[in-house]
Amino acid sequence: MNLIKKVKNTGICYLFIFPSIFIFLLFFVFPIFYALFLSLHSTSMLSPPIFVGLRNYQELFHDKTFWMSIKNTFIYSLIFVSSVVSLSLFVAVVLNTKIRMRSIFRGLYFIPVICSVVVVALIWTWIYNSDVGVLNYFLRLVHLPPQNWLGNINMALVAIAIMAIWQSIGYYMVLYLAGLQGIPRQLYEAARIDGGSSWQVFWHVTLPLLTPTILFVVIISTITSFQVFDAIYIMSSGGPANSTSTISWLIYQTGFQGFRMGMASAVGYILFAIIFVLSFVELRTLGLRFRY
Amino acid sequence: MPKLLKILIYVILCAVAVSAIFPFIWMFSTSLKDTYTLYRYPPEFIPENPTLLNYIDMFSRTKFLIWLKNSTIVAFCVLFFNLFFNSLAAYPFAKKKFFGRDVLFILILGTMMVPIYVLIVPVFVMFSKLKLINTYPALIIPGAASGFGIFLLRQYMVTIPDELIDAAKIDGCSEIGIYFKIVLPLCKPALSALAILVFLWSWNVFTWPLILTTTESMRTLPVGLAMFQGQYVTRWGLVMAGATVTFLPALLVFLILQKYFVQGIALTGLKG
Amino acid sequence: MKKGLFSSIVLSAGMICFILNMVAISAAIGKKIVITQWSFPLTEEKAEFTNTVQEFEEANPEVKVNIEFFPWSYRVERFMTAIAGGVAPDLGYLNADYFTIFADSGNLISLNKYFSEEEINDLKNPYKWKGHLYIMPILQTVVPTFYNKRMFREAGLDPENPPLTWDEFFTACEKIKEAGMWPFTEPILHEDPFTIVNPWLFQAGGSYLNEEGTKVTLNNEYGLEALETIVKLHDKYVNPCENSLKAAERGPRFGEERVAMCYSEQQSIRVFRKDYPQLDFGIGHILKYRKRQSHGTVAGYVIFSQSKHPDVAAKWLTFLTNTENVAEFCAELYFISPRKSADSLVKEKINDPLFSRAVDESAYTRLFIAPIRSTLNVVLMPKVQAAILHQVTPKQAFDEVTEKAQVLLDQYIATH
Repeated sequence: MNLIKKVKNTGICYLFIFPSIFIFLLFFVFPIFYALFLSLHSTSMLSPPIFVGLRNYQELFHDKTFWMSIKNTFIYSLIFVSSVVSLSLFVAVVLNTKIRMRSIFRGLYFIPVICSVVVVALIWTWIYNSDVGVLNYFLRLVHLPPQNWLGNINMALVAIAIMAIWQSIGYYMVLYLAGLQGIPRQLYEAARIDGGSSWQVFWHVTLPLLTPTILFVVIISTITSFQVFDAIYIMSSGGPANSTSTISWLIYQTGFQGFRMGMASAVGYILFAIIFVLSFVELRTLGLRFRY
Repeated sequence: MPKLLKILIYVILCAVAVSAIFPFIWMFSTSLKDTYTLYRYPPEFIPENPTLLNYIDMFSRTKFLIWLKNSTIVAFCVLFFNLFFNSLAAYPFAKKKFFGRDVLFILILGTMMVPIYVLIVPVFVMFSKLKLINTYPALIIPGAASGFGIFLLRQYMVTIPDELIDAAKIDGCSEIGIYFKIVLPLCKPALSALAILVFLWSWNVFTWPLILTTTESMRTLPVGLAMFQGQYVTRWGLVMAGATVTFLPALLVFLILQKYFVQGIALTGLKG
Repeated sequence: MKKGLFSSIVLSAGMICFILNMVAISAAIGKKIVITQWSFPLTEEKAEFTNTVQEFEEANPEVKVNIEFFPWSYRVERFMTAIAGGVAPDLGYLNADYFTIFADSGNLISLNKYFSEEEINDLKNPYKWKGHLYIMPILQTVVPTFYNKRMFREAGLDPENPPLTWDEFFTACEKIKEAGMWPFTEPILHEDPFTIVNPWLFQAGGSYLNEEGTKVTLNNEYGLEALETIVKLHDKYVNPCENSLKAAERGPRFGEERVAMCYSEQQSIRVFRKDYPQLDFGIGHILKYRKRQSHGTVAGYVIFSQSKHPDVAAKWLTFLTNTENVAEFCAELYFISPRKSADSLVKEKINDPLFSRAVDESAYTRLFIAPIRSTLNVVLMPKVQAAILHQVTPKQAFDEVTEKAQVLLDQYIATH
């Protein structure tokens, strides 16, 4: 392209992007830089901030609770992303075929997504109750030992992850279904005519053409799981003994319960950096393989 | 597919689907009880003395209808702006090369990664200085553009065959024409998915309306309903009545829009 | 396109509503002085102030009182953003637990000049901070022991004679346990130590800070004894399922007769009577060991220094918290009157022997009000939970908390 065409092209592209960018600038850019500014200060936001340089970051580096939150967040995210990416795919593929009542099934799977997180968290707190909850009731029925799901330091995080996966399957199912619609039916027909079994069709036709969606789901679920907050706020308050304290919870707790917004901003920046690097890695490795 | 496998899949699907309806049943049955306590052991799925008191109180003694009005207006405005702006932005990222494309895309993705509680004080201070507190724009702006939407649509648009676009260009179509006549119609499934998720987000979002409104008449449903939980005592029946009524419109939107997923055929080949 | 038309309609509707709202707001302001007050629903009853407001506005026609309610759990976000943005209301509802951090940062107006000596002396617990009165209270709470009379009888205990000392308490627990029932409920996922830690800490003679407020004294011998007692209590007498519960579960577990005793605030009397009419319960004693003290707080309204009309706000505050209004407010919701003069009025209106018992117990309340309180709780609760779950020993737990809290306290003192 010659120069004029290039400039015209760039101009048009930026025109298309402009409305979104404008809102991002308005809504995100100032607050993000202000939060960076705050992270170098000590403040409760009730009086002018006091400059402390990198002290917040230094303190965090030596803080056991902070490292525990990082560990918890990574474990939670690993469980969540691996489960959700695969399970939702399975459900979406099955509910895209011509089985009976698939619209009803789709609706049913989406109901947990629509329910407010408060309701879902409250009902799962009951399900997980070690005394009278439904889960242990069934375990006792089949002679397996009942567990103290949310009251056990080693299990609480996994329990919350399972609840989140259950609630999110419908969400990512919707995304996969949209992606599946983009695969032309002729390809399926052609593959069948060539004598492919269902599994071969899935592996050689569906999966390759679904890769942009899969990449999308992986990145979005990573970002969402790293920011898990509501369930912890409602169900466990980071406990017992910080076993469910994730970085987002730490930010909230430090800033709004501990009245230390400077420190909270520092934690926030670290979380941002982690998610950014992780997503970048995912984009590069998976994106490269899928050529998208 | 072997019959046995089919049956097994059916069984698993049904089991999970039944568990999915659990919260709704429990939520609805609690809303029919006049109670301060949340759980009873053993749980009472069918209330002993069902009463419509919670619903009556909610409609007559709280500003519920105002919150409903606000939520509806905000949700539809957010839906419109979000779909429009995001699809506009996604098109160049998907189909065109331009200076700064990759960096900009990463930055846009980056906006999704900022923890929300780090943002709320600066956003409030900024909106306060712009005199936007307690206004509809304050409720709409947080949802009007999202990295999520741009990313989703971009991934979908990438699968649109370049030949279609090239053919339109040869026919003399302008960029904006291509966007409206070719790209947008082909994105119906992704747009429907985004519409559902954006509507749901806007309908249920709590933090931004909480922070950016200080008067009850501008609240949205989730924030209004949080008021039913008192410092010392909570009337859970009322909370669940609110949750049930909030749930229904979102379900309706899903049921209406999900038919776009059922269409299985997206591309009919090249235009002549 | 159908979609375009539809969205245009929606957009226009939105714009119209927006404009209408702006018009409405500006019309309402008019020429009166508007006093804004931020309250939180204590229970689902929110219409607590309509009559009071009406009376005041009739007596002061140039003033309009505007009361906004917010969800309780989000009070910190509410106040923090408002103060940071320079748009704090005239009056706000705060607990005595944590008003000090607002006072220390210069955000509250001292009420000393608005209330006379006798008015302040009429308050049972005027929680002054550095010589100034900041909160004018509208309610007071106490956290006595609630006990189930039927379960006491079954365990062979005298239902009219609840335990008073630690010895009697633990003996009673042992007997209840032997009779096959759970003696006590105390969910551990609470974010505030006021029922889990404070009663035992105070009763053992310990305290969070020293007299001057410069040193954290949690890990002295009294504090350690308190934590060891707490751990023993949870080991033997609290159902392990409570390791996964939050404080809201305490009431239902007691109400459904799954446990024999609990610590709860006195307004639960009203809730238990309503939700569990078969429950035969009584109000026990605040326990006695080295001292006889437990948590009990006071809550009321403060005037923010960003207020543009502090004198008018003070006038409204005086009216809101005068004897009759306080009595009416407390009686409706089962709160103890913070004013001596309204005490008998409230007791009369409520006319409930259990409530009167609770009022008797309120003579033994003690409140920890240093500004470091909230920051300390964040460090304290996970360690207490860890000790209860035997992840660390009590000594390790309190040593770590003391060390961390001392750093935070030093930082705070250095900047104030």
